Parts: sequence; structure tokens; C-alpha cells
Amino acid sequence: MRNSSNADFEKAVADFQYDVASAQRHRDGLDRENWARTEARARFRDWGAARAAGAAIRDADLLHLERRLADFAARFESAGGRLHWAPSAGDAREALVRIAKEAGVRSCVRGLSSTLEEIGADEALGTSGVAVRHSQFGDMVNHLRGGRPSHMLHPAMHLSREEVGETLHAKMGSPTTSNPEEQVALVRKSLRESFLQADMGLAGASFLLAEEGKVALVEHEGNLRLIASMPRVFVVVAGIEKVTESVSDLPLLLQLVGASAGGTALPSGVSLIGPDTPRACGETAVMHLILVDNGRSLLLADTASAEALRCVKCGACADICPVYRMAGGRAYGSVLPGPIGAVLTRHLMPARGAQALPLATPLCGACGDVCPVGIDLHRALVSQRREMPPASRGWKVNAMLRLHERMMSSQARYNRGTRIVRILAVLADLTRKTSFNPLSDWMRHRTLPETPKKTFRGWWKSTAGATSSAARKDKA
Amino acid sequence: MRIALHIPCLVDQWMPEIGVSMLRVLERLGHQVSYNPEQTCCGLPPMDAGDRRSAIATAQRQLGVYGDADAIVSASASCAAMMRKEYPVLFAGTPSESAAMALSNRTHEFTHFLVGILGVTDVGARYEDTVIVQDGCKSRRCGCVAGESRQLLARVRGLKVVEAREEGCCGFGGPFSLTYPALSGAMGEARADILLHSGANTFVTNDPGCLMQLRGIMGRHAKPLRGVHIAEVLASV
Ligand code: SF4
Repeated sequence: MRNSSNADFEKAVADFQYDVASAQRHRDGLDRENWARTEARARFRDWGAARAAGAAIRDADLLHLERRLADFAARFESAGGRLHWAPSAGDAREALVRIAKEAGVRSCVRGLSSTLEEIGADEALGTSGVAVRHSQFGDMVNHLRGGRPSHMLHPAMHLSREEVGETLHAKMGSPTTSNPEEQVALVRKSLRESFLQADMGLAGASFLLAEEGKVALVEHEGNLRLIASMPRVFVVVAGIEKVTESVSDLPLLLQLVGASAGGTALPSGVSLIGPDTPRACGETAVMHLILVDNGRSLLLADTASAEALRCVKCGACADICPVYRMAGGRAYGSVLPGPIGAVLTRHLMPARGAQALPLATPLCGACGDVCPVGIDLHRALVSQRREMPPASRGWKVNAMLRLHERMMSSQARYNRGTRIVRILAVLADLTRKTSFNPLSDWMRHRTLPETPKKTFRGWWKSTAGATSSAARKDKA
Repeated sequence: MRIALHIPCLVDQWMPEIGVSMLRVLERLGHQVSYNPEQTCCGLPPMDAGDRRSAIATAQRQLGVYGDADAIVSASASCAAMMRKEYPVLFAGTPSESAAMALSNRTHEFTHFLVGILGVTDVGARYEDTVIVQDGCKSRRCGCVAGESRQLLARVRGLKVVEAREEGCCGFGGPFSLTYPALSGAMGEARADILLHSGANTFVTNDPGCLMQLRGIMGRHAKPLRGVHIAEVLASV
């Protein structure tokens, strides 16, 4: 099988690197984010203990998922909220469109949320004649340009100030400026009207509080509060894994999110909103929640990867990842880039490519080391590889694996096999510039190690007669 | 202590001097060191490629080749991480579970063994050079948590250690470098660039995989940095 998806990813990386300025901006952005996180973690009395406690909270949530969801549903509905269960992304889209139709919604203002992308909320609303406005700055700029996000929290991180200014000028008719503060002010002004006019507010959730029946909205700009309170219909779309026991878990979880998302002690905005929370638009306001499964229950049953559902979408694992650093976010073709994206995308958004992404990592493990809820991303990635069709590894790896297994199965085979490999290495080096050498692209970047006269085992055997280590040293 | 060497295939075939150096250091410290040529591979390549069956088949062999040594010391952080951290999971619920646990508990990466188990930082070495540490990323998965390499190098006479502007992966990743040769190569270039501008003459690592990748990448450079395994530095007197 021709391994097009792997080649596609490498090509996307090469394209990204080709735009030298953009690649540099990306790296500078990551350095800034990572530095802020390092400082934030250092301010914890005991970061290791905090993340272990966070992991324990999330694990208990996942273990008791059904009960938590039932508790949440009961409270949420008794407070007047309308709950919609969506086994698949299609069901979630249907529910969303139904809500919009029944309430006569013409316009919608939405927040940044990977779950909204996962279900394809924009397209569903768009085809039903609902105008969708993105409120998060970078998300909006991307949307205006028709471009894909490059970062979990800063979706337009790949763009320069000038590019942002040109987009705002071209699409919103605002005066051209490359000053970020002026740009934000311009957008804010036009957004204010959207908040006033929109019939529907739409957001993802960071947590669902089972005991309180409330939704925790966490944000790094100040718009979610407005989305939740101004339009007459408010819809939250959340994955089932977002449920947590109660508000008493929140302080720790929020500290972990604050440190790992923005490098701050707490996220800049947190709102706890339930169906009975008084809202600016008055009494007639209705709150809906669409609970999305869409592959999560299946993932939960996979013991090696289930803990990926602990994820609080902070983006730390991507920012520290050497592949993401090299590739930029858009190469992943998913709103969830980086290591967690490689694990989750294939389960939650299988149609968006990404099937080969778990292969695109040297498994350095830096991701798991920074994850604030201690997800062993290394193990989860390896486990994803196990589930992939063998052909996706490419024929070279598969050939290597078959040879390897045979060669390693006895000492005699090992000795014979390695002798052949040594000869092949010489041949490979001689033919490295020719296309029939399967290692030619590997060797374009690297020389092969020099072949030593003796192997270690050969040396050991020749010195084995010497019983004392001193004698062995003499022979060396 | 009776120590059995784990010599990864990469070391056995291409960099035997690493094994010889480890042996020298451990014997200098007064330990009884053995090597069983029945050992082949720890099973990491198939494991990392996602071929669990083949990983188990290969790893199974490892369970029987170290006899009753008190410790198994590996020349590779990656292999040590495989044996320590993955074997117990790989063999869980199989008849080999207890053998895998026993092996896992006795296996140590070389620098971690010296510092964490033996409590030694000064091995009496002398090495005139300016070096930079480029340890394998898997160090963090095999128990190296205390900057073992730097502790050991700090006590080597004649040696100056410089620091890189940041830590980072060499981009090798075994099967990854075959599936994504250009991406892996570009990552290696980026890392080599940082090392080349660090002011060091030599990079020192505890992982033969990184050594092969970075030596290979440097080999295409006009003025390459030399690379050695930390055992070679510590063996020198
Ligand atoms: S996997 Fe961990 S580090 Fe990555 S986004 Fe999720 S919580 Fe953050």
C-alpha cells in the first residue's frame, strides 16, 4: 500500500517550514507559552502532587461516568434545562439544528470549542440558514480567512499581525492596522452588536458539575459570559467525559488548567451556569445541553488509551512536542493537534484523516511529562499504533519487523542475520544516491555508522578464556 | 554485586566500544560482570511500531537470559525503559508475568544504576574535553530523574560541561525514522544545530539510538561535533 497519509504529513511539514517567517513565529509562540507554563508550575507548592490529585479526580469521574451523568441530568433537567443525548456527531448536529429551528433562530454567536468542531456545528447551522459568528479572536480571524486552526488555544498563532490586519480590513471593512490592541478593539466593537442581536449563544463546556447540574465555562477571553447571558437561547455542546463530581473538585482542576493553558494561577474567566442562573436576556431564556458520546464510550473501554479522556484541553502537550514544533498545527488536519490530537482525533473525528497521526512521533514522552492530569500519552500513542492496520506503517517498517522477529529469535539466527545486515549496510552506503535503495531518503539526512572490526559478542568471546578482568583488559 | 550486561543490538554490532567501556567502569568499581551472548533484542522496535505480538515474542527471550544476576545494566535508556516500564504491562496476565516483573525490577539504565543504585558519582575518570549532554528522551521513563549524567560528568577530571539553550529530542524514534525519514531528519538537524552552537566539542549521551541518529546527521555536516556514549567518558582514566 502506498502510504499516502504519512507522505501527506511530511509534505505538510515541509510546506510549513518553507514559510520561514511563519515557522519562526510558531516556534517563538511555543517558547513563550512553554516558558509561562514552566513558571506557573514552579509556583505550585508541589506540582507533582497536584497533578496526581487532578488525575485521580478525573479517573474517578471516568470510572463513575454513568452515575455522574445520571446525577447531572437529573439536576440539570429539574432546574429547567433541556438535555439532548447524542450518541454520534450526526445526532448532535440534528439536535442542534432542531433546537435552532424550534426557537426560530436566525443568528448565533459561538465560543472556541473543539467539540463544536468535532460535531461540525458551523456547517450544520449554516445549511439551516443560521448565521454563525465566532467570538474568540483568533478563531474568528481563521473563520474569516477560511483557514484551519494552528493551535488549541490560539487558533491563529501562525498568522502575522499584518495578515490579521489585512483580513479584518478585507472582511470587516475596518481600517488597516497591524497593532494587536487596536485589532482587538475593532473586533470587540463589532462583536458587541452580535451579542445583542444573536438569537442563540453556543459554547463548549470545560466541566459539567454532577452534584450541581451546572456547566463550568472556562475561557481566556471575556466572551463566554456574554454568549451565555445575552442571546435568548443558550446551547452548550459537551462530550460525556466532561462531567466531574462536584464544585469542590473545581479549585484544583482550575489551577491545573490555569497553569497549563495560559501559564496563570487561574484561567482568566470562569462561569458556572445552570438553567436557573439569572441571565441578562430575561426569564424566557432556555438552556440546552447536547451531550455527545461519538466514540468516547468505545475509547473508554480501551484500557491503554482510556485515560486520554482525562484531558482538560490545555494544549501543553502539543506546545512541548518536537513534532508539533516542526509541523505547525495545521499539518494535523484536526482542531486537536499534537499528541492528544493524535490519540483523540481518530476516535472522535475519524473522517478528518488523522488515521496515521499516532505514527508521527518519535515517542520522546515530553507530552506526558507536562500533562497536568498525568495522561501517559506515550503509552496511549503506542496503543493507538496497535489498533492501526499494519499497512499504515509502510512496507519498510513491516519488512524490518518481519526480519527483526526472525533474526532475534535465536543466537544462531542473530549471528547469521547480523552478518548479512553488515554486508547490506555496505551496499546501502554505496547505492545511497540511487532510487532503488529503500533507505535512500533515510540516508539523505544521515550517514550510517562505521562498521567496527569486532562486535561486542565477538570481543567477549575472544576474551572469555581470560578469567580475571585484568587479563581481559590486556586482551582488549 | 553480580551484574549482567544488557548490550543492545545496536551496541553489539556497531558500537562495541560502549559495551567494553561499561564493563571497565563496573569492574573498576569492584563488581563481578557477566555477559550472555544468548541475548538478542529487548523487543522495543516492534513495541514502538505497534506490533505487540512480535514484541512479546522477542521480549520473551530476554526473560531467560540473565540468570540470577543481582542487577541487569543496560547501555541504552530506551531499552531500559522498555524492560522496566513496559514488560510488566506487556506480560500482565500471562504465565510470564512474574518473570517479567522480576526482570523489570532488576533492570537499570547505566547512569541510573551508578548514581541511583550504587550511590556513586565519582568513578575515577579523567577526560579532557568540553562536552554537552544529549541524553535519550526515554531516560525519564527508565528512572533517571536526578540528572544522573550531569552528576557523573561533574566528577570527571579535566572535563567541562556546557548546557544547551534547551533540552530536546534528536528525532530518531526507531521505526519513526523509517516511516517519516525527512521529518525525523529535520528534527535531528534542528537538534544538531543547537548542539553545534553550544560551544562543546563533543556530545555525550546514554542512548545508542540518539548516538546513531546524531552521529549520522553530523556526518553530513562540514564541521561535525563528535558524539560518545557516557560510558566511554567514564571509562577513560
Ligand atoms: S492531554 Fe494533557 S497536556 Fe494535552 S491538552 Fe489534554 S490535559 Fe493538556
